[in-house]
Amino acid sequence: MRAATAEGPGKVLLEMKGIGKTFPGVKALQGVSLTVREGQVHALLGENGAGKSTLIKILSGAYAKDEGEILWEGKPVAIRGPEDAQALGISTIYQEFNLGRQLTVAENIFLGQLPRKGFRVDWKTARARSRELLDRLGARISVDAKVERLSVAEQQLVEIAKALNRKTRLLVMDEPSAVLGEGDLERLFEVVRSLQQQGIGIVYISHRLVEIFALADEVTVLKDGRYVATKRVADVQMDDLVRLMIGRDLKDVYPRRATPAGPVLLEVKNLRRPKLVHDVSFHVRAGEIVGFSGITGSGRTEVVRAVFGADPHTAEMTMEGRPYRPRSPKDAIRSGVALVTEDRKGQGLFLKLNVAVNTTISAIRSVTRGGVIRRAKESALVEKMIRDLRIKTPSARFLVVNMSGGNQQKVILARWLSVHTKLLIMDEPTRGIDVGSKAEIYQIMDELTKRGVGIIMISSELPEVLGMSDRIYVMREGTIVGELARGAASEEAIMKYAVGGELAAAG
Amino acid sequence: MSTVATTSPAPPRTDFLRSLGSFPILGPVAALILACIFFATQSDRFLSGANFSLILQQVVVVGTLAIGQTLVILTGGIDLSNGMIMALSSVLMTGLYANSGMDPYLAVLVGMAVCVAFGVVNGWLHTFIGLPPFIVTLGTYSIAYSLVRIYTTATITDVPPALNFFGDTFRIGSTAITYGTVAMIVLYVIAWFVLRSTPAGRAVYAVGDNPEAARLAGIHTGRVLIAVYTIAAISYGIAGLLLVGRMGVGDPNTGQNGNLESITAVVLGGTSLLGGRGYIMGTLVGALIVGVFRNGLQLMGIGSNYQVLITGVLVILAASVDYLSHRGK
Amino acid sequence: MKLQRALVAAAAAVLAGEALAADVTVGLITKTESNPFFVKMKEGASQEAKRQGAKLLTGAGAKDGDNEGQVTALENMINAGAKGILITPSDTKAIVPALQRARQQGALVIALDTATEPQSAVDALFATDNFKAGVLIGQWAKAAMAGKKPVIATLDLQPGITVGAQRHNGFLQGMGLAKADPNSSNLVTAPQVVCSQDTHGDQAEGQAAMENCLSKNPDINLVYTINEPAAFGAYTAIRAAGKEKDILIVSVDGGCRGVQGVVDGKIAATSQQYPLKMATMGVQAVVDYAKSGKKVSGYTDTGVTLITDKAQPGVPSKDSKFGMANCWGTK
Repeated sequence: MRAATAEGPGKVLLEMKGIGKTFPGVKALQGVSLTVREGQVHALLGENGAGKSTLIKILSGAYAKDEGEILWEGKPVAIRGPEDAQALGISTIYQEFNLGRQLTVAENIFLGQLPRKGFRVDWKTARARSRELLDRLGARISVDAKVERLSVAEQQLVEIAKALNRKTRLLVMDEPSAVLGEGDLERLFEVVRSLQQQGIGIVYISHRLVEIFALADEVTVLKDGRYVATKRVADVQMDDLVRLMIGRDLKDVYPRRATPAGPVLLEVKNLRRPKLVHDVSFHVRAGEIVGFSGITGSGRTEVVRAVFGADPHTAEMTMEGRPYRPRSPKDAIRSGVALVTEDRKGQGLFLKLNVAVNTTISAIRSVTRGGVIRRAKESALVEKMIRDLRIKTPSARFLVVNMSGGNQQKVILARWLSVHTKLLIMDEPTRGIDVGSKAEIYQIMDELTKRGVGIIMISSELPEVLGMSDRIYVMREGTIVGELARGAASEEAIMKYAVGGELAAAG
Repeated sequence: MSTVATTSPAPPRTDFLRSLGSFPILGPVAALILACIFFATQSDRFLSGANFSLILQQVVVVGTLAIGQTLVILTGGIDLSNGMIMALSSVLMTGLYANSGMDPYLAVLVGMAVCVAFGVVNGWLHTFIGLPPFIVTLGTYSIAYSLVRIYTTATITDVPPALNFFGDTFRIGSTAITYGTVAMIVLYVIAWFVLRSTPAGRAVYAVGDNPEAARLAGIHTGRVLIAVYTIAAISYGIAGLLLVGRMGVGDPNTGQNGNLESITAVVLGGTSLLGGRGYIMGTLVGALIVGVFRNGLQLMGIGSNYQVLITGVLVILAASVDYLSHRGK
Repeated sequence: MKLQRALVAAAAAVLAGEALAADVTVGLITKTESNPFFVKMKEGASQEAKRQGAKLLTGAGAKDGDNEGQVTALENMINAGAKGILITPSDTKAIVPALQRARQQGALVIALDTATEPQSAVDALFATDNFKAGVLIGQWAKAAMAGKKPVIATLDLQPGITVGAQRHNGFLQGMGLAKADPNSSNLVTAPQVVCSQDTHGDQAEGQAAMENCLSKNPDINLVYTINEPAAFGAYTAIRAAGKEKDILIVSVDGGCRGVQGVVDGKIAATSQQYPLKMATMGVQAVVDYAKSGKKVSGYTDTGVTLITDKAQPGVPSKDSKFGMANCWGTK
């Protein structure tokens, strides 16, 4: 065991040795090992498809392993189903929460194991105990609130409280940060650290290297279903991990930005949306990438949705010098404005439809003659997009639901490149996408600007904002509080504006 | 998952079902052919041009209702009002002539106009008030039901010859085929072409799959939905016309099961009730499956209670195949 | 085209074979397959068919009033080679064009229990005189009320259906409260009728209708019901209201369960009819037609008898013992 060299504070809780899993035609896992100690945060790192999900599904009893053994406190155990995992004290929090949305916080925390007094549910105990658990997590949520009314971050805390209530000793968190904004992230870290202090072992899955350095004691890297290495975080640099994970260097991820900015493309003056956006003014030039930074809820998404005509607003806007008043997304698209939404599956894709339909949906008139869609023209357009954007798909008739996040994002980009997009708005363009695909999407963005396309990029990942933007607007509480040029921007400078240091004159 | 090769692999036993998922029309067609082969071995009267013509004739009304139902279901909705809209149009088309002496063609136009009005109301309540289609059309079902009875409780027998046209026949060889059958098939071909090869058809699938994504892709989802409910209602009106042609009367008691019968055809045809996935020609096959079973069992001398039973079993089978072939996607 | 020719040839061969076959196919189409009245009818047809060596096909609408279901069954039976069709029409007018087509194709069509409108749409009608059935219970009720002022609820079939109107109108005429055309399909009424509701001949609907009537007018003391299921529904409602001693229920059908209701005192009087007889006669007529080519025609009254255990002077009736022995039977 390579991992056994690591010295940890607690005793070894879990050992997975030589785990293998084969699906028909695919070896999903081969010889993977993982050791977690009490009170340790152990990061599991790898690109999408590296086998992280399969491994934790084996650990949580959702899949049965084909090879290898699992030791719990040194003794071999068999995990045949979720009940076995729970009985051992293993809980898993998936990205999609397992909560009853119509139920209250307390009901969720005690779901399936409500305390009883005779035949009646002992609500008093359930509520008191829920309160206690939430307090332990520093969560100021009412135990009687309905889950559907909670923010994503609060729901995550309810999930954690639910796990604690089940006497969890090992908590597996599958990309817990993927659903959170920057502000909520710090809170999550505090919670994880406090769990760690209570002696709970934690398996923390993430794409984001920054988080691993901020939180983890050890990191195990997987690639293509194989075990690569286990390292003490203190002993490695970020570049080392990237190399282990994708086989190349981090600095290659962001393209060198060298496009000169052209004339002003979009000019926005006094954009207002009641309670959400207050008097926002900014501009984007042709060939320019403009970053929008700020914590979640600062109004960034609300601004760009208004620019795209998706929500009611008031503003004076011009596109290429002409008045621009989009009253629907259709108007915006006609003017050459496109929006890649943050919620790819919920607001972007037609999951049950194929790559071709998803690609040409907005450009359908351009392949239609006499009211009839011309198949040959459509295929030519789609094939060109698949080639140009290097979309990995067996055919244009493949359903997008079966594609990876990175390829799905490329399909959305293909949709907007099929119409004559002049201004591309991207809301969290690389959320939930593995490092390899990220680099490709950055490359595409860079190439688009060379053709004179202006890009607005909202991102909660500061390295991304800094790596890609020519200019950065920082938003807070519905207004733009700062504008930074590429050279002047730094994480510190952005955070200062974002969380409210002194006010700077807006661009 | 980053590459296609490692996309969440399926357990082997559903591989066959998954492949069915890629060609959903094959399942219903296979079922139809198997049923025909079976009945051909059971009754020497089954396999004849006249009998097939009869089966087609018998599915004309439900088949036409199911065209509109398919459109609505493709958008993720459901239309419970269709049979009663048909009934209302058919008693108006016949009654305005028989009781009020209106010109028969004008009476047909009035009947169709009432259908359009119902379609617009269905679509508008769903789109702009945001009521679920189930509730909206349950309401309009009752409204149309009562309007039929307020207008007439007596069967209208004085039908103008012009309205009998769709019940009239022409011959191919020695087989008589009704014009109503031809009309239904033409409607299916039109619907198939529009759904498959026009921007409007794409919009229907897109709205059914993901309305918000459709809006953000530049589709006026409200207009699409209102158009779908309206065009659907027009198909119910045409079904009413075909019904009058077939039955030779305006019948106020008709249409009460039209919703469930048309949904049965849609489901048997492999269209998902969740919207965004399905094939209009599957619906025709679905309607034919019901017709073939009813006819074949009758030829075998098996009573109607069993015919209904077998329809129930088929619906569950079809829905199971659909569910299993798309599970986990 | 080739397939078409092959199919036509196959059909021709089949038809040629049919002419040689000795057995006769008879089609029986009832309103539903669940109502015990029609179950009895089917039983009679099936016994007679077996005795005559004929083949019986049966079909029905999905529910009362389902004309299309009956038409579809009819077409399929003609295609299956039925020589004759026995039908209890759900919609007496709407079925007519389909019956005419069947007759044009050479089938003998006999209406059982319910006349078509016009009655000439079929070759023959074997039925109870439903108006007379109504008159009998009306006369009996008038005598049984013994001068007490009647407050009447009628639990009817559904609008536009002749049988329902005939029984209802006959009842009111028998009571001496109204004058009616025996063939009308419109309900007549009288001031003494305080509540009229449609039940579709269904027990649950009958109960709901009675509950509504009682809440509308608690003084109701006489209830006419279209058939016995509706009568049992009404009785349940009346007993729940604690009024079973105060209200008389009269009905039509005389099914075994219905006569048992007379024995139990739930139904005061009912007009018994004879569906088994209708079916037996019908099958016999079709077989005769197939053999001799002779068609029956006109109306044959299959008879109606008032069954009650409280005979009233001047109203001919039989007791429930007779009723049980003959419930829906022929022998």
